[in-house]
Amino acid sequence: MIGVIICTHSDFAKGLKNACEMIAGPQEALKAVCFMGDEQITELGERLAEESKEFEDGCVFVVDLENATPFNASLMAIAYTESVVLSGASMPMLLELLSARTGFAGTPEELVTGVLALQSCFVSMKRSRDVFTD
Amino acid sequence: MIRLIRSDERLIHGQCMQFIVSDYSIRNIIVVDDMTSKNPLLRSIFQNAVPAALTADVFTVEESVEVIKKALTDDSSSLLLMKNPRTLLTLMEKIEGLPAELNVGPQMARGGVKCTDYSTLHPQDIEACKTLTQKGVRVYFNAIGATGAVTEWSSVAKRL
Repeated sequence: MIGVIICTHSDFAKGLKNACEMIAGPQEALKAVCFMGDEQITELGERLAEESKEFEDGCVFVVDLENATPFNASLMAIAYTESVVLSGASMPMLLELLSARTGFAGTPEELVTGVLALQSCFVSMKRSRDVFTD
Repeated sequence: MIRLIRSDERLIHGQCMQFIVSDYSIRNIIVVDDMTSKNPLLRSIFQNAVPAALTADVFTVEESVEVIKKALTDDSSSLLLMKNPRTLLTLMEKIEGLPAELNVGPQMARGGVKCTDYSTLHPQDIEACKTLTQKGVRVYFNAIGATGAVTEWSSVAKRL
């Protein structure tokens, strides 16, 4: 199975993992790596590469912000592999990704492309007013 | 011209850089760091970690001298970015006419001296800040751009 590693500023990653498992149940090949601001980008990159080693089918690194340190360090970790980085970590996105990878036989790139195609389903920012007038 | 000199251990990163780029109208980023410059993977990550309207490149201290001299006088609107204050001291020995201000952002030296919540300086950088101040450079701490809170070096130095 394609692995998923959530990497964010502070312990958001751990919280996201817990919240996803509350809804979707305990997950195989799902890890949280928290960047607490006290390590170099190269150290974080090496830690992420190490954590992803066991995923033989590749890995999707889900990060909070584009071009921020968890993102840049994940880019280091995917070099010379078929793994991918996906930014904008959220509950809807992760739940979509976790369900899409079950039984999926393609590459991490294909998995993420499929999930991105559903973007309209999981970008769910709405005011309460809009929920009721839809 | 060089609009801002900043030391940030994480160099170019995310929202932080977006605020700085817009607050100081930055169009070009000159990163000076020997280790990053010599690592092709890291170098390409940082070259690409900026919005499309910006240019960014990473140089060793030696390579950067001519680039910085040119940026001082052209219309580039540049940010001069390095990992720590020591680097600015080295650059000042090689280049005249650098702006006399250093913005210290996130620093995370293990076992270093905590100056602000986001800045823990290596003892050598504490010395570098003292020397920079003696040379007439205003050293101040600021995490995320012109709108953020500023802590002057002088107020930190009092409790060292």
